[in-house]
Amino acid sequence: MHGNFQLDGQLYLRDESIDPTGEFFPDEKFLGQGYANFVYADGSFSAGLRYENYQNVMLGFPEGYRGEGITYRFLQFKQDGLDITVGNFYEQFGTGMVFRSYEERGLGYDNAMDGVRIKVNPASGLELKAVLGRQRFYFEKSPGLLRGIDAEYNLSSELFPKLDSAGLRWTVGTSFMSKYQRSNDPFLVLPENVAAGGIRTRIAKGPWSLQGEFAYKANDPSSDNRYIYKDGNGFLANVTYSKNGLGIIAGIKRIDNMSFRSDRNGSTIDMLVNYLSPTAQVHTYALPALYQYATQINGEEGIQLEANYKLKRKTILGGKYGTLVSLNYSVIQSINKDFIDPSLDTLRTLQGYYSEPLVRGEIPYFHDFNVTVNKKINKRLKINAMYLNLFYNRSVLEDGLGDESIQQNPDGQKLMSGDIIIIESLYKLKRKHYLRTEFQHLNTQDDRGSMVMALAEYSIAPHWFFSVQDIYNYGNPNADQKLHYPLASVVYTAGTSRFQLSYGRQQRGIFCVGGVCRVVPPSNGVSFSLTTSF
Amino acid sequence: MKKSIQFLLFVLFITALTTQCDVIDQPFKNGGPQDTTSTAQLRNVLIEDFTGHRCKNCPKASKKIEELVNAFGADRIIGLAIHAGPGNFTGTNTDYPTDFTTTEGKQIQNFFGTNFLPVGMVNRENYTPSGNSHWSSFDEWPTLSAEAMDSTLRVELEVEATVDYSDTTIEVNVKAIPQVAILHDLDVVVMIKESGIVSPQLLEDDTRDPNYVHNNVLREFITPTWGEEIGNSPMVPGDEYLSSHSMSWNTSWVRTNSAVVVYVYNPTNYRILQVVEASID
Amino acid sequence: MKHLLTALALFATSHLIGQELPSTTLKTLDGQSVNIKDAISTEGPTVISFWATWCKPCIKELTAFMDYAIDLEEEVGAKVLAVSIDDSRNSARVAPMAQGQGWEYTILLDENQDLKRNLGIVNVPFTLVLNSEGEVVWKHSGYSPGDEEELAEIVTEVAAGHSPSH
Repeated sequence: MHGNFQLDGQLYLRDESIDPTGEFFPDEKFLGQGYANFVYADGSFSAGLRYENYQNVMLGFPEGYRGEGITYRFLQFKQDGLDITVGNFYEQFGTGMVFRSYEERGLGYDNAMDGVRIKVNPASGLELKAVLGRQRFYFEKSPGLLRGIDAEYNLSSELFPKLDSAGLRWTVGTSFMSKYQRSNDPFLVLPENVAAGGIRTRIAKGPWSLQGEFAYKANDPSSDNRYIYKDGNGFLANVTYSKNGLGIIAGIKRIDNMSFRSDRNGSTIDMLVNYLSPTAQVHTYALPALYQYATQINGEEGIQLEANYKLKRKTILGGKYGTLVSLNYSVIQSINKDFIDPSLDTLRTLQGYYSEPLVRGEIPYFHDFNVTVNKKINKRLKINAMYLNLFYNRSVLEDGLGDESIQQNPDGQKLMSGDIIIIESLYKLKRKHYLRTEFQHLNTQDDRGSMVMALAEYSIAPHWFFSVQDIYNYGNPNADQKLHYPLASVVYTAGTSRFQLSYGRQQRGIFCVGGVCRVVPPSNGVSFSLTTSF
Repeated sequence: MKKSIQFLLFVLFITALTTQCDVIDQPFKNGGPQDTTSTAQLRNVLIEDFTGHRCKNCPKASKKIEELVNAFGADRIIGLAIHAGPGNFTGTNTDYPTDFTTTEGKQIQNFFGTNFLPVGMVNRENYTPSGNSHWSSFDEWPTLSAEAMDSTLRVELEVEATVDYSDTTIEVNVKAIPQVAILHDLDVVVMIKESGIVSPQLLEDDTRDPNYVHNNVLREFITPTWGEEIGNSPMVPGDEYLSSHSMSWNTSWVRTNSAVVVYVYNPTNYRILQVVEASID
Repeated sequence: MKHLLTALALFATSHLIGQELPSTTLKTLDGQSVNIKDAISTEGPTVISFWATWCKPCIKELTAFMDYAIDLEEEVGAKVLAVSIDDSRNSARVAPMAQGQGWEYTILLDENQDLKRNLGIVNVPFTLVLNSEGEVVWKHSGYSPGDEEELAEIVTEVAAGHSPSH
C-alpha cells in the first residue's frame, strides 16, 4: 500500500499597499486545502483512491474547487501485456496534441478521465490503447463524452530486425479522439460529434533523434474560438543530438485553432482534452518566472533551440573541474490570420479566418534568449551565472487579447522587454552546512519596471533549510508601488515528509507548468505546507 | 492463444466506439428560431448579465442578449445588466465616472458567488450553494434560453406599472396565476431597469468608447433584494395572488427608456418561474 | 477479502523497510522497454532518483552526486538509475540534457508517470535506495545542498548490510 498526503494553508494578512481595494483579500482570512492518495497493488491487481478537501480553495487556484469528496478511484488489472483500468485514469496519446489527461496539483489542473481504458500488446512492438469516458470538472463530470484509440508501433522490433542491428530505432504512431456533446442552440447547427486525429513518428540512431507529430481537428465551434467552423491543425517536430558532453535540441511548432475541450463552453483550464506544449524554457528563478510563456491554444508558431555543453576538465576554458555552458533561444509569434469580414461572408460558412502556413505571423508573442555558465571554482564554491533577454507580449499572454483585436489596434498592445542578470553561488562552510545565495536584476522600462532580488539560503543537510529573500521593485513607474516583497521560509525534511512554513509578501505573478499557467494574486501572510508519502 | 483473445477483445471494443465526426456545411439554422403563434403566455427568460464598464469582454455578453432579443422578442427575453463584481471592472475614475453599481446588485453577485466578468444566470436554474452550476458564460445563453422557453409555464404573471402625474411615485401591481399546482412558497421581486444610457465603456481591443450605449441597466429594486412573499404553499391553478408595490420615482430616469421587471421565484432553490417586463405608463 | 486484510495490515505498519518495487515498464533512451524489477542491481545497492528536465533541484542533485556515484559503483557495486518523469514531448530533451550535464548514469523514462504514481510519489526530486535483494530501505524527497553526501553514506551503509540511519 502506497500513498501520499498534502496539506496547504495560508493565513492572509490585510496589506493595503499591494491590494488597496481589498479585492484580493479573502473574507475567510484563512484558506486551506488538502488531499490524500492511496494506492494498493497486489500481483496483477491494483486499486486506489484520492480524497480532496477545500476549506476553502486558496487564492489563485480555480474557484471550482469547493467542498470535498473522493475525486479519483480506480481498479486496474495488468497481466501478460493486457492492461484494463476502470474508474479514473490519466493517459496520453503521443505528444498530447490529440489527447492528454493529466494532473498538475500546483496549477489546480486535473482533467482525469472517468470510464474505461484498455491497453494491449497484440504483437511484439505494437501497443494499442482505447479510452472511453468523461473528464473531471471539479466535483462533477464534463457534459461531453470522449472515446479514443491510439496505436504505436516500434518498427525496430521482431518485424524488422535489420533496423535493430543497424542501431536504428523507429516508431510510428497514430491516434484518434472523438467527443460527443448534445447541442440545443437556437441559432446554430452545432456539430455534436467532433473528432481529432494525429500521426507521429520518432527515429533515433546513435547520437541523433528526430521526432514529429501532426494533428488535425474537425470543425469545433466553441467559446475559445468564438464559434467559428474552421478546422484546426497542429504540427510539432524536434531534432536532438547528444554525444561527448554536447546536447542540442532544435524544435519547431505551429498550432492553428487547436483548442479541444469536452465542453464547448469551457474556459481557462477546464476540461481540456488535449495538451499543447510550449516551445519555451521553464525558469525557476524568481524574476524570469514572472514572465513565463503560456501556450496560445487558438494559434501560435515558434521555434526553440537549446544547447548544453560540458567543457572538459583541465582545459583552459574548462578549468580544474569542468564548466557547463547552456544556451537557449525561443521565439514565438502569432500565425498568419486573414480574418473574414462577417458581412462579406456570403456563403455564411463562419470559417472565421484563413491562415497560410508558410507565411509568418505578424504579432510577436514572446522571445527568450539566455546563456548560462555553471562552474565549480574550488572545493567549496560553485557559481552559476545567467544572462537573459526577454520579450513578453502582455496583451496576449496576460490579458488574453485575441489576434483580431490586436490587428485592429496594434499600437494599443502592452509589450514588455527587458534584460535579466542572475548570479547564484553555493558555498560549503563545512560538512553538511551550505550557504546558497542568489542575486537577480531585471532591467526594463515596461510593466512594473526594474526589480532587484536577493536571496540567502542556509541548509543543514539532511533536515533543515532556512531562507530569506527580498524582491525590491525600485523601478515601478508608480511611486507608491516601489515596494519590497520580503519572504522568509523554514523547511524541515525527514525521510519522505516535508514541512514548510513561510511568511512574507508576494507580488502578483503567474505560476506555470508546461505552458499552462494560473495567475497568482498579490498576497501577504503566513503559509504552511505539509507533504508526506508512504 | 492469449494474445489473439486480447486482440479480439480490443477489436470488439473499438468497433463499439462510434468513430463519428459531424462536418457541418451550413452553420446557420434555416428559418432561424421557431416563433410561436399562440397567444397564451409562455415561460420567459431572465438573463442576469453581471457586467462592468471597465470590463472589456463584457460588451460581447450584452451583444448576445441583443441577438436573443432580436430573434425571440423583448417580451420573451428579458436582459438585466447588473454592474457588480471586482472593483477593477466596476469602479469609477476620471475616464469612467458613472457608478452603475447598486446595493442589491452587489448583494446578489456576492451571494451567488463568482469573481470574474462577464458571467450570468439564466432564470437562476441549477442553483447549488457550494458550486457554481447556476453560472453560465454568454456563449451558453442561446441554448439555455431555448431550453427555458420550451419548458412548461407554472405561473402566469400580469403586471401594470404607472407613474403618477407629478412624477413622484411609481406604482406596480402584480397578479400571479398558477397554471399547475405549486407546492412551495412563491416570492415576487420588482425592479426598474433603464436602457439607452450613454456612458464610457472599455472595449475588447482595449480602447475606450465614450459614447457607448448601455442597455437593460438595473437601476433600483422596489422590493427588497430577495423580494416579498406573494403566495404560500400549496397554490392551485386558477387562484390569483396579488401584490402592490410603490416607490418614489427618480426623475433622472427616462421613463420611455425604462421598464419594470417582475419575477416570481421559488425561495428554496431560487429558480425563477416566470418573469415579465412591463413598460411604465 | 484476504487482499483487503493484507492491505489493512500493510497500511497499519506503514514501514518503509521491506517493500519491493511494483512491476512497471519503463523505456530506455533507445526506446527499448524494460521492467524496473529487471533494471536494478542484484550485486549491490541501487539508487533510484526521480527527476525531470524542468526540475532544477533534481539536476543539481544528480550533478552533485556524480562525484560519489563513480566511486560507489567501483567499491560496492552500486547502480544508479536516474528515472525521468518527463512526458513524451519533453522526453526528447532528456538525452541532450544528460549529455550536456556530463552524467554517466543509466537513464530510464517514465513517460506516463506510472512508476511515480505506483510508488505514491508527489514531487521530484525523490530518491530511493534499495538493498541487493531489491527491497526499498530508504526514501527521501527534495534536495538541499549536502544531501548527496548523506546519500553516499547511506549507500555505503546499505552495501555493508546495515540498516540506514536517518
